[in-house]
Amino acid sequence: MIKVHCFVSCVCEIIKRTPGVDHRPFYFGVWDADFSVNDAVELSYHSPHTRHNEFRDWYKLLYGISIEPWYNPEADKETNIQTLVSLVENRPSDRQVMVMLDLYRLPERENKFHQNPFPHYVMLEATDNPGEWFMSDPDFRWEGVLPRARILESVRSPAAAGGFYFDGLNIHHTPAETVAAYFAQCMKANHNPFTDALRCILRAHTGPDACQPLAHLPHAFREIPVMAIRKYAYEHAFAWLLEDQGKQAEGAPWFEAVCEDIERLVKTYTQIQFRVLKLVMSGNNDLLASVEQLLNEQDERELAIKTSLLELFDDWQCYRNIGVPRTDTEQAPLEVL
Amino acid sequence: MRVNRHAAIKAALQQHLPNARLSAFTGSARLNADLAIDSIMLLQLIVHLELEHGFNLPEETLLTQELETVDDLARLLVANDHKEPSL
Repeated sequence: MIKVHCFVSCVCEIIKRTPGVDHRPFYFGVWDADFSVNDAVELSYHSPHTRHNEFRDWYKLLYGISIEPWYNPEADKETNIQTLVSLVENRPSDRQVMVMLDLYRLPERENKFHQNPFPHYVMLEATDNPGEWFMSDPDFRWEGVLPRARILESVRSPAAAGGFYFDGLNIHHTPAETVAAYFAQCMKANHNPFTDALRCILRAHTGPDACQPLAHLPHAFREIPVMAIRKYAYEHAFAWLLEDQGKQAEGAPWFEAVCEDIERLVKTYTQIQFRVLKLVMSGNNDLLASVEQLLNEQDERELAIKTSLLELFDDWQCYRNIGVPRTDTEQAPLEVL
Repeated sequence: MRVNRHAAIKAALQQHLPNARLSAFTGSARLNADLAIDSIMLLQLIVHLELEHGFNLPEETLLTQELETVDDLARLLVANDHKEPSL
């Protein structure tokens, strides 16, 4: 699995290692996971207020594990660093210690986004060498040993503030009824918040009613790739709902066609970004209509994927003989990173 | 006259993308890992090549081809006779 969502990847790692329990249902919440649009009408995958409460609540319901925050936003950075050091160096073997750091400050780590800053969750363990810690970064499928001081420097970044721990002693086998309830909570069948937000940002920077300079639009759209890849979470949902019914996913023509649609959805966000850059760099306003057109196509494409997924979900409910009312929930969106 | 695609890529990087690690520039250099060109910088680079150097990269190529190295990018650029940015 490529990088999709760092918080989710960290907490799913222990689930993936537990026989008989599947982490993929937890990705239901990822394709429309929350993001922020700041006062300058710029897209941001992270906000200082992000606490991941919805994901934490559902993780407890799905797998029986409590994710506890250890980072105290009221305390200063050095106090939090001391808490982290204590947690890592006194860690019971079944405990996972997560911390948000600024990956941009670890240039020794390959980081394809090269964004400055790049807030990102990883998990840490002490080693036999007091000057080195072991870092596990399941979102980028990377693990290795780094100097403790270098890691703490990246935690000291003003852009990073957050951390959790959880113990993996009693992981539940996921009850189907809870999975169904989680799906119903997550599924926004009639709208696509990410594409809607891109349309609002575009209109805030273009046209007669623009409240922001056109020249700022590329920066406002800068983080599109970090969020576009969340749409790959659909693949996990389709695969799991098929396989849990004893059907084949990988290699099956229907599933492969769905994956192609998802791929197209993800990559068309790049196309949108490309046309926006052309619009701003060339001054050719004719391109604006073509960006709007692509956004409309994205809505159609994603709603069609959601329709297919809802049909598959209905089949799965029949197979599992459970019934949860299917609604387009209007509850608070999930928090993100 | 055959325009040198690699030279155009290098010139566009030099002029517009100072954060790229130009010292590592070769045909086989990886755009992201070696030259530190992220996805947005890559798109900017392509637009500069279109607007100023007479090349473009068809959008379908952008969606279907992996652009990992300078050579990949050079191979997929096509000569562009008009100055208006293509859709």
